[in-house]
Amino acid sequence: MRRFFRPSIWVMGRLKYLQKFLLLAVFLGVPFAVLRNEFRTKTLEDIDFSTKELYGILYLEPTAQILRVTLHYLTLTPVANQLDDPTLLEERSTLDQQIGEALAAVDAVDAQYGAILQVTPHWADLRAEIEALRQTYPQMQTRQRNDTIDALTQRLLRFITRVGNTSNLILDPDIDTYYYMDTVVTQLPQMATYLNEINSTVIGALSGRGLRLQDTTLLVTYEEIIINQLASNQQGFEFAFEYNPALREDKGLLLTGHVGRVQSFLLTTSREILGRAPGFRAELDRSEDYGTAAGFYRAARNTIDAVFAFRSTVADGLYDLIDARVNGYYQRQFLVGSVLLLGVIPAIYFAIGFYLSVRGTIDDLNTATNRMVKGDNAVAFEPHTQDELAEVGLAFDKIGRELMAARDSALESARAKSSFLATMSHELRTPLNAILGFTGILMSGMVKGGAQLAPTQQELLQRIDTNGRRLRDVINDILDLAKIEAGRITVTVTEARPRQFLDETVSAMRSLALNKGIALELHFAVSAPEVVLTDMRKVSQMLTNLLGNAIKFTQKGGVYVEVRGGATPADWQIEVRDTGIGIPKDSIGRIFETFRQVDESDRREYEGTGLGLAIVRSLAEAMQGSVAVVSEVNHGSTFTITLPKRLDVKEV
Amino acid sequence: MLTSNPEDWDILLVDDEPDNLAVLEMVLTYSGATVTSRRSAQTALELLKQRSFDLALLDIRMPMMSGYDLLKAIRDMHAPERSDMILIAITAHAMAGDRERMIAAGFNGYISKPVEVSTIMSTIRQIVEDYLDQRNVMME
Repeated sequence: MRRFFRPSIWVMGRLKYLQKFLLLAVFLGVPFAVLRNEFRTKTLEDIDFSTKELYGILYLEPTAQILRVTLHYLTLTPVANQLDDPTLLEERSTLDQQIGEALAAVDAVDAQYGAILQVTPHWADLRAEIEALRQTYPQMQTRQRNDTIDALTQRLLRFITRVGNTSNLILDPDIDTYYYMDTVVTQLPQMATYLNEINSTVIGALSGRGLRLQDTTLLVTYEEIIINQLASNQQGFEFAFEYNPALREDKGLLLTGHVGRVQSFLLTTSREILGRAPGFRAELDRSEDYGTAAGFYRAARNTIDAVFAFRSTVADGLYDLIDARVNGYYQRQFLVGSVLLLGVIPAIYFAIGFYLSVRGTIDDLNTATNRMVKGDNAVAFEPHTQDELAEVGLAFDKIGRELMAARDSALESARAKSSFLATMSHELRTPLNAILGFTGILMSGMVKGGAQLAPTQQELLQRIDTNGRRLRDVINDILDLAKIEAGRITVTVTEARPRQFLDETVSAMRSLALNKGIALELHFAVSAPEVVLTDMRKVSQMLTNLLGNAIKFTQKGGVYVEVRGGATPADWQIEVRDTGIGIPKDSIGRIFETFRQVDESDRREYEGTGLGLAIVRSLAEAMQGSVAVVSEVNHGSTFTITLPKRLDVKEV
Repeated sequence: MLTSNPEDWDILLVDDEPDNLAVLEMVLTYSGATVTSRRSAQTALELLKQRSFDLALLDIRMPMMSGYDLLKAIRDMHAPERSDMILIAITAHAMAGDRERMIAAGFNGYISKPVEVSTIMSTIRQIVEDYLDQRNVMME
């Protein structure tokens, strides 16, 4: 498991939390944004697609009216002319006028939707043709008229199909809308033209020339076709109703009415017209309605108008279906957009909360760490959350408390040890001082009435004295260090003049250097401060220790002390340079440690406890200063004490 | 009349450590001085109420009553011969700057513990001579 996630862990381990969140946001957000954009584009396309369909339906409505009135006009004109019937002539001029109105209506929708549906040029051509025909049609010969009717009818049907195509109506994949569309765009206009063919043929026959054999064949054929169309209509609607049962209630009765009306027209036509043998003119006059050209024309015209009315109703239904679909798209888009927004805002809100919670716990841990480092073990870590990080914090707290307890007990035992050492050293020193005192008296022959000592006795006393002094130095160093480690060191700050008290300190060591035959020089640089606020006893003790070492390890040359200003204006320095044996590089890091000398051989050759430098360092630190060393073997060492010019006693 | 000759000195020695007292006593006696020893500041003060000394060597660190306290008590006696005494502090671990403190407190000088038998007399003599010089300057 971990193995599989190793690269992920590697990356996350190198990022800050803010960066982690950004990375996650990128990985989650980018696909999210792409998907959202895809969805949005798709929805907009859907809306665009279906909106075009709506425009198509609106466009087709007046176009269908053109087809209707043009069919009537073309059929009626020759009959009205031939019969010279004033009623028919008046109706013809009404139809001519209606053509003009219908053209204007299509112009209006074309101005609005023609460009979107890309049909404007085709409409312009068609319109010009119809306009031209209105002028030339009344003077045409019969055959020419028939050809013109066919041609224009086909052109109108093609134009309607074109609008159906460019408005996506024909492409629509839904079953209900498909069959509605098929009815509105294809079947009903087609059916109207077939009905018109019947009309035109019959009234041609009734208006004089009689019913010829080819007329009978034509009528039978068209009747057959229309009956098939009606069946196909019904079937299509059945599919649509099955797919969308709500439609049955809306259009079921209308469909039945439509089918019944057309069937009734066809039946009547068959009975009244085809029921007679060709050539029996007299028989044709028997029915008022169907027997005359004018009567049949009106019956056919009403049927055709009913077909167009039905078409308009279905077109309205189609419009409602598609309109509802478009509204659905808008709702879907709004819903998805809202859900995304409602999801993203809490995600961002909680992500920020997550980060702040992590940040808070880490800050708490930092605070706890700082408190622990400063030694405050009262309250370490209090969790403000209940998550995994809080567990880390509590674990840290536990470790911290245990470490603190361990440290406290270690400090306590160190204190006890130091206290014991201090007492012990004092107890050792007092009798030793007496031994040295009495030895000195004996050596000086200060005993009144005492006999002169033999040289051997003198030498033995000398040895007692030497060993006693060595022991005393050791004890003194131990006492000093014990005091420092026991925390019993108290810094007493006074105004001190380095030129004065350092001169005294160096002078006290002069005899030691003189005895070894080496130089001991004290030099004050121009930058040396005249007055400092410090504990001069401790400064003096540090210098004494450094001088003691320097003199001890120097056989020729000398020890040179320089007092000067420090690296910053707030500091001053005391430098002790000797020309002694120096300190090897690998030892230099350890010389300030307790009980350290450079090596065992040094210990033999150069007596001492090795505590001197540890004391110097402890004192320097107690006074907010430091001590540093540079050294080269066989060339000498340089120790530099750096101290503040104004020691603030409150901070010690 | 006080001189720089130890044989003329009448010395009071106060130290709680008997061996330290003995060493100082032997060195001073050997030099010819007259030495009276006391092992506490209280008993020394009792004695000082009765008589005066030329010099007094007072150990600073003593239980109950320290050398400083004793010095203060002597200076407070308002007897000219008492307050005129040369007072020398005996102090352990004397460092630079101690001298100033001792002088400021009212001592004429100090000697450091442990006592260096070979140099102690010259140190005391130096303090006495300084005192005499100072007094002479003041008298002139």
